[in-house]
Order: sequence, then structure tokens, then C-alpha cells
Amino acid sequence: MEDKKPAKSPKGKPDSLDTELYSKRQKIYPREVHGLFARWRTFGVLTLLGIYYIMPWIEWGGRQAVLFDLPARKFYIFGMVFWPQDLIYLTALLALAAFALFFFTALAGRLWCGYACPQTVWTEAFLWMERRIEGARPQQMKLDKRPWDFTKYRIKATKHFVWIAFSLYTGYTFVGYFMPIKELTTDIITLQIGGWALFWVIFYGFATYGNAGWLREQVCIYMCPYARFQSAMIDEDSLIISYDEKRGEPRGARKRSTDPKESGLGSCIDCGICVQACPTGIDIRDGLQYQCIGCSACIDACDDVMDKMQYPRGLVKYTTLNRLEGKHTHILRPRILVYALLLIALTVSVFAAIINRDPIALDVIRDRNTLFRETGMGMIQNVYTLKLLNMDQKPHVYSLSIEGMENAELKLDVDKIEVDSGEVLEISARVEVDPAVIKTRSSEMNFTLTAIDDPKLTVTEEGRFMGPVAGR
Amino acid sequence: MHTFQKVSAVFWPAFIVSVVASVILFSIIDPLSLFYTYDISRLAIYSISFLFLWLITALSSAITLYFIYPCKSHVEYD
Repeated sequence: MEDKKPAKSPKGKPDSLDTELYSKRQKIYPREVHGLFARWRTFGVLTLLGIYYIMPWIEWGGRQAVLFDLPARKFYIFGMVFWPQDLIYLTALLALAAFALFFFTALAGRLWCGYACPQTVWTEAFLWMERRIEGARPQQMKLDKRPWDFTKYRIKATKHFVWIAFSLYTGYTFVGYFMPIKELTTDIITLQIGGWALFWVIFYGFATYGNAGWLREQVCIYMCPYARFQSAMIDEDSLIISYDEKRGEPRGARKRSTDPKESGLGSCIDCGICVQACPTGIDIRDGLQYQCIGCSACIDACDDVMDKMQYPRGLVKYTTLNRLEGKHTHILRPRILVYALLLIALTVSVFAAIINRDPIALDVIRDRNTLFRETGMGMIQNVYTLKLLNMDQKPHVYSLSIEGMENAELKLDVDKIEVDSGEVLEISARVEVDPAVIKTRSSEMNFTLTAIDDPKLTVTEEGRFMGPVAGR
Repeated sequence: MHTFQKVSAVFWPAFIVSVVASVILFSIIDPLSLFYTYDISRLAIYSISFLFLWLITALSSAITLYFIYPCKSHVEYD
């Protein structure tokens, strides 16, 4: 299915399309690297994981700051409340994210993949655990080759136990974004967690364990759509990670004392450390490949070797295709300017739209326990919970009315409907109707909420009136 | 193709599409307005619907995968 021919291997091995697609996956043991880019990635991993695990515990105005409360159909993001009808803003935010991805890819290649993608972030965390338990790359390879004895079982069991525990904690945190995490924690401690909540904790935990522990680079190569189409977004002026072939070739092993000029060798000592460091198992010296996630581990690895050889750094480095060919690189080019303008325009309009949202909302929830009841006066009564949301900058007093049912009477348990700025007021409303006028088991009816001081602030929501059909 | 590639080509696009479909579906419909007479939580309806959507979208992907390969009589295996 992949129409791109793999780069020809300089060693002349039969690296055809077929062998690439049909060969069995070789387990990759990425070598630990240290250096500038490794530090940036560690910074990215710690920041993003920190945000992920801490965010659900942050409180804002007496409730969880970020909560996509699916059971209640409300999304809380700090001071803002979003309702299902606000889906358009989510769509706009996703479009914004896509444009940001276009912009950064055109500018600097796969920055996202190398430093911020959840797949990279969790894989890094899992690799870190694996190295602490199994040891560095050579120890890991030795352990895998050794026959199954007690020590091997012990080490492997420890690793998987730690991985699974971390994954389940990840799954629990994930579910904590969709239902209040404090309630979830209490439910877990008291063993009263609901079946579906438990299912999603295990599902997300299993996905984390599978993707970061087992699948790793295969997710990037076979499952990620971005990896396939990112080549359409980069051009000759985008930053890419590349091997400087002119300087490196002809490659070859040599003693440190050898003068490369005299022996006719390039700077590449063919140590293969860049290949060992690569989390997707490619050789950067073969050129730009779609498997490269731009993590720059090979840059750090090679710079380390260059330092030891007392050669200048940068045999593998961030560069552009134009610079590699000795041409001038244009950072400010039409593509970047157009993407940047679109990104700015979209960002401004999305946030302006969110800020200028209709500052009033009403949610009508029918009492679920009883469909209807008969009052002492012989009327049919339905009970509703009304959630009134004031997104305006000042408090308002509202009036509430109903339409659609003949002679329906609205009874509230409050005298004055007052909602503070940015607050949600929950009130109980009873609607009473004469059974003689009820024609269908379920009738439509509208609740209208209007601000008394500003009649332009008005919203109508549908409610449903349930009752016995007369004469039956 | 790898077995892994086949499995992910069936289940992964199906997963993404059913997530999107579930989000759109349940932003329009409150499941409790459909199932108000049953004692079932929103979370249960969301979950079951998502898994069901995933199943049928995976079926669609599987049929696509099946049709990608030409009929056996025309294949020349090498």
C-alpha cells in the first residue's frame, strides 16, 4: 500500500519493498541518549505528564476545574461551562489544532511527534521504567536472549507489574476527566465503582500499556495518519533532521589517532550509535524517511561520538533540504506567512466567538423517578430540574414562563430567580395540567427564560410533559 | 501486510470514526430523552452505543480490507 520506495541501503542489502512489508518486526531497544534535545524531550514529557495527572485535581470555584462531565452533559473548563449545543466550539478548536500542526510542520518538521505526541510521551515514560528495571540497551538484549529462568521471570514480572500499575493509574486519571475524580476515587476505595467507569479505567489503561509498552514505533508507522501525509506539509525550507552526507562519507571505522584526511575517510566512523538510539529503528544516514518521528535522539547520540573523536559536532543535525544542497534557506516564505495568518485569524475568531457566546442558557431535566403524579386537586403534575446558567459579567434576575400546554400552571420553589455572574442555578419546577386537556402520553412544552432587566437575554428550551391520556 | 497492520487497519480507523460519530450523535441527542422509562445511566448508553458503533465500523473496515485484495484466480503469488 505504501508507494514510497525505501531508500537504498548503502550496504547493498536486499532492502526491497517486499522485505520491508513482510519482514517480521524486530524488537527495538532504543539506546539512552543524553544531550540538549534529550533534555528538551524530558522537559516536554515531564510537563505534559504533569499537566495530565495533576489537572483533574485542580479546583476552580468549588468544583473540578477541567471536567468533561459526560453523565451530566456539561463541560467545565475553568470559569466556562459548555453544553452539548456548544459542540461547534470543540470543532473550531480541533480545526485550530490542525492549523497549528500545519504551521509547525512547515516550519520545523515533526516537532509534535518528537516532543509532544502522547505516543512519544508515554513511550518515553515506559522506556524510562524499562531501563530502571532491565538495565541499559545491552542488558535488555542479553536478558531477552537468555533462557527463561527465575531471574528472567522476576525481572520481566517486575517490569510488567510496574507498567500495568502505571497504566491503570493513567486510565483512572483519564476517567477522572469525565466524571468528578473525587467521587471516582471514593467509589474505588469503597469498592463501589460503577461497571462502566471500571470498564473505561481498564480500557484506557490497557491501551496505554499496549501502545507504550508493546506497540511503540508501530503506532507511528502503521496507525498514525499524520506520519503518512506530513510530507505534503514540509518543503525544502522546513527544518528536518538529516545526516550531512558530504561531510560524513566515505564512512568507516578508524582509530582515534587516524587523520581522516590522510586516510581519505569522512567524519562518520560508522559506529552505528545513531541507529541504536533511534526509537523507530531507522538509519538516519539513509536519508529522509517517513518512519522518522523527528525525536533528534540521533543528533544527541552522534554529537556525543563527535566529541569523543574530537571532531566538530553536527554530522547529524537540524537542517533544511536547501541548506544541505548549499542553497539559501528562507524561513519567512509565502507558505509560512499564509499558515501564520490563517492561524492568527482562526485563533482570534474562535476565542472571540467563545467570549461572545450567548450569555444565557437553560437546561431542562425531567424528574426521572416518577413520570407524573396526581395532585390533591386532581391535576397532573410533572417535576423538572431547571439549570439556569448566567454567563454574563453581571448578575441578573430572570422571569420564567411556559408555553405549549393549555392552562398549564408553573410552580417554582423560589420567589425570585436570581443568578450570579458565571453561576449555575438549579431550581425545581412543577408544572400542573388539567388531565382533561392531555391528549398524548408525551406532549411538547417550552420553558422560556428572560432577564427582567434586559429582555434581549432570552432562551427557550423544550421540556416534555408526561401524563395519562384522558378517557383510557 | 503484517498481521498487526491488518488488525490495526480494521480496528483503528473504526475506533476513530466511532468516537467522532458518538460525539456528534450524543451532542444532538440526550440518551435519557430516549430511554427515560428504563433505569439506565447515560454513561451506560454512551458506552454501549460506542462499542456497538465500533463493532459495525470495524465490520466495514474488514470488508474494505477484504475487497482490497483481488480475486484469487487473478493473483500471482511470488
